[in-house]
Amino acid sequence: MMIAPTDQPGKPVVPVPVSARAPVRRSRTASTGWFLLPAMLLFVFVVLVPSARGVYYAFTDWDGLDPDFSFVGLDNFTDLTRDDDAVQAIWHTLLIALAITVIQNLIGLLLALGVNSAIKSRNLLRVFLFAPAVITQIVTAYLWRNLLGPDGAVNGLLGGVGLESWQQNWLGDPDTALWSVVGVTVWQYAGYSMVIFLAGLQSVPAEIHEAAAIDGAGPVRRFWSVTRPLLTPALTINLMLSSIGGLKLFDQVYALTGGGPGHATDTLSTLIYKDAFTLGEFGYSIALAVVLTLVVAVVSTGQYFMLARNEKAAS
Amino acid sequence: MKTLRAALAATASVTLLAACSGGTEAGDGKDSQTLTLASVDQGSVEDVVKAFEKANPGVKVRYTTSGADQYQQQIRTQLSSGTAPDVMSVWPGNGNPAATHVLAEPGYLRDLSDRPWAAKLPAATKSVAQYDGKTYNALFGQNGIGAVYNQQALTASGLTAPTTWTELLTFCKDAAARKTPAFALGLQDNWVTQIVQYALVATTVYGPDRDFDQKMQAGQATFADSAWSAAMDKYRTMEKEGCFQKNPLGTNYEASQQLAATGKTLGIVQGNWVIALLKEKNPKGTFTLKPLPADDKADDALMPAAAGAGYGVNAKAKNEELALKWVDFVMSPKGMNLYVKKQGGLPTLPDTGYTVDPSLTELSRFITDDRTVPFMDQLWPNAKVQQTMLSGLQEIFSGQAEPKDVLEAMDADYEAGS
Amino acid sequence: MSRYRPRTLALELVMAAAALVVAFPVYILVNLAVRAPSDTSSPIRPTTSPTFDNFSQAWRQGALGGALANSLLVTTVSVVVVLAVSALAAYPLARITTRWSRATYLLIMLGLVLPFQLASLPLYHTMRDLQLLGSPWALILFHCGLQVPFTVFLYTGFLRAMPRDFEDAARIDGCTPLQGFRHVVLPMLRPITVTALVLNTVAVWNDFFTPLLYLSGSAQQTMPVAIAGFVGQYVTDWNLIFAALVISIVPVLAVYLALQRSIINGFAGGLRG
Repeated sequence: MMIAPTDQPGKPVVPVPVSARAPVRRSRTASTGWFLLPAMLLFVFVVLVPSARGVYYAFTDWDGLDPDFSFVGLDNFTDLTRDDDAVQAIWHTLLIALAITVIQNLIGLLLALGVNSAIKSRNLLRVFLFAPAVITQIVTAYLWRNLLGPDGAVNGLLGGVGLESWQQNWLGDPDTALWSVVGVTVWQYAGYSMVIFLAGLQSVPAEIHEAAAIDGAGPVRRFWSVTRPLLTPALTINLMLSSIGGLKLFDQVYALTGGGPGHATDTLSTLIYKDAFTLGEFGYSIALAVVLTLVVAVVSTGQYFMLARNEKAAS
Repeated sequence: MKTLRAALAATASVTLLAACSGGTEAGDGKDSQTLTLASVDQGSVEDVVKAFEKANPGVKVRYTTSGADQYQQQIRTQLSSGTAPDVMSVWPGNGNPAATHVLAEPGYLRDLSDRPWAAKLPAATKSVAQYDGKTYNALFGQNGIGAVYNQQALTASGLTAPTTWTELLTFCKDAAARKTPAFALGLQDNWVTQIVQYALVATTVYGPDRDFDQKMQAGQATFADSAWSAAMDKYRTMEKEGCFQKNPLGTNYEASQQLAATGKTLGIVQGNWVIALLKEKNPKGTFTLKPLPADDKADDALMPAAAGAGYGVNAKAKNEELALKWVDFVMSPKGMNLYVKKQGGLPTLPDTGYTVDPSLTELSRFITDDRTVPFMDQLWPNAKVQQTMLSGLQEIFSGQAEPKDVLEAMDADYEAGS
Repeated sequence: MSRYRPRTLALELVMAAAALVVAFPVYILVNLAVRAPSDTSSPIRPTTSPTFDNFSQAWRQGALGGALANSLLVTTVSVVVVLAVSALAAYPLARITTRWSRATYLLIMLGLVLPFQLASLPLYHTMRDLQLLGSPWALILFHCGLQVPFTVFLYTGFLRAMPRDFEDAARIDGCTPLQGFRHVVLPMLRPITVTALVLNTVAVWNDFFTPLLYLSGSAQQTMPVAIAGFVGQYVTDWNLIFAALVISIVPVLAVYLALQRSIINGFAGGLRG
């Protein structure tokens, strides 16, 4: 560090009011307000303004093509409540998000505990288990589409170890298609959750563990009373990321099943795409996108406040 | 008929993901010698572009090809934003997000009625190339649907191709008993689900009533109360009697080709476009297209046959002159033959001097004898009817729905109109 | 914690089994990519005579070289810009405690919630008006904006957990806010920067739907789009496709492997306290 933490005033380049020694904190940092500018400009220009403009279409009957369209008020939203496909897609979206959030974090946590132990392969495993998270989603989907076929490697493997009865028509059976999508997503992102949990685990000082061990606490007890509370920040980030990711999941579903068989794996995201471009109901599809936004917003704010309370309680 | 075109482009197994740039040496596009083109004819447009550039020295075609889903998204966005290319793939008729009616109605396509080939189109083709009495679509090739047999596998099994419904069911049983099921079926790609249905509907519905479409349009007929439900029952009977390999829902288009090409099934119910793909997988194989029997009078059989996607000219084309040159070239004997040869179809115009591939003699004969009906969706009022049918058939095969529910849902979508 | 007991060995075996589950698909991917198309044995069986022909063929026929260059350009520029503006923005967001600062933070976090479908068409129109369609700059601009919320989220979390003594000292030593940021804050942000770098690289590199629309009609393609086109064209040839898939993931994998050590540290920094 080139600047020593001293109290020596030195020569201010920009004069700082001497009288502002104590209450200065706010005004000093306030002068950094312009730091926000470049990021805000990009964010407003690329995300905020276009999204706000996009919402307008939700109140029109535009087909995505004809320049002649009209304002229809809330019609698209009332239609939505009567559209079985949409209602079903909302449930699928919530189910997929819930399943991914729970399974991915559970596996992620177990993996993190595993690689945070004394095992010899821990460093190698940390690197390796995160690796699927960097692969392009559509590449993962291509790969798994091949693996999960009736004559694919997954069924081949099950047959090879004498588990013929476990062989499934993974993507073609409505009972397994949705879980296959969840499984593929968890396969790809469990390592991501692991890394975040691992970071949390490493912030737990080893001395606390040793002290607890000396006090006679077993590993489960130690995890529950020492590690768990300190993991709360990691858990917060993980739950937020996986639930938002799960709710907005698109590439994987579209490339794996296209929403099928039938509508068995259609989510809000795939339905938005289909309605807009295959059926030419652009206005309606944007109404669905608005619903998706609300669902994500409600779930993530709810989670945020719940976790924030826990975090406070834990610390 | 977007989905069948996807097959033609040989990209259908992952249509969404199939998009690529064909123009590798793109210029600025502002040059008066540059034509911009968006196409779904992956695998065949490349050769036609080369021939076109050769016939028009100094001209450069900047083109992109993509799978059907992707193409529809792009072209609709581009048309509504004024960024569409000079020439683009347009599907015949209606019922598809990038079909002639859909794009011509808001005025995005240039009227091509003044072109020399427009008047020469046969009536059936002309009807789906037109909107409101004007021709908008340069439809160059037509295709048919039927049972494609792997001749070597058929000979090895000692069976002969059935010509009646009863023979078909016996054929299926015998084939299944020999551990080589009759037909490969790849229902995982939802567009495939309709193929068998169309093959059966042609004879079952249109056999007794060639005017079924007019009756539908006039509101005098419905899917649920017509022979459509008989056809759907036959589809299910075929499945129950073991006409298809196991697990059709987990099998995709690509895997189904593999089965038929290598003789693991005796054939496949598909469009003629699949033949080229089968030959790619098994260069030594011989494949022939025959009608899929749907009743017990062989002479009553009809085949679904219709024009595939053609080309429309952007009403606001930057280079209209070259755009018209392109559609004229595609409709000339030279361009047309080049295209259909590469795609394995038949030309839409008579007298192009095209030598029909032996595998398609039957289809060619049916067309000449006027024993074909258009692909059903080309005359439907909106895209939703077809989408409902596609996911509905998947639901029927996975036990989530009954044919009656699906047909009633299709009726509801049909009545909703355009 | 650091002793190797029988129980540790058992854990080692369990973890190895987990690694196998993760490795299995990757093994199939590589196994088929190095296999000649004529070899039709089970995908699980190791390829007996591996070949690299598929790779060179995929590279040539897929025109992957150009796509690679494009993806590198788009990813490098986008990630550098996003990291710079987000780190800068996170500083006041983490340090100023007024209501305005909180509101701004929440507004940016809204970006995590919005589905891309909402903004897609209006943004397309903007790009058209700026005449950026068909150019990699449209993608760069897009990613620079899109990745701001997540990156700001990472940086702000990290900064909030970081003591402010050094900044105060720098201030007192006469640094301007920007100087203080550059010489004091930025070096301390290094761990989280590495994490953000990897995660942004992954996100930008892998994006598929935006380049598809924005670069449509031009010869400029990014790696995922080129791959998708390739898959569309060679639907039936899995060996070739798998070779192309391997090529497409190597660059991101390389960035990750080069920086993997720092990723966990980056997260750890953000989670402290």
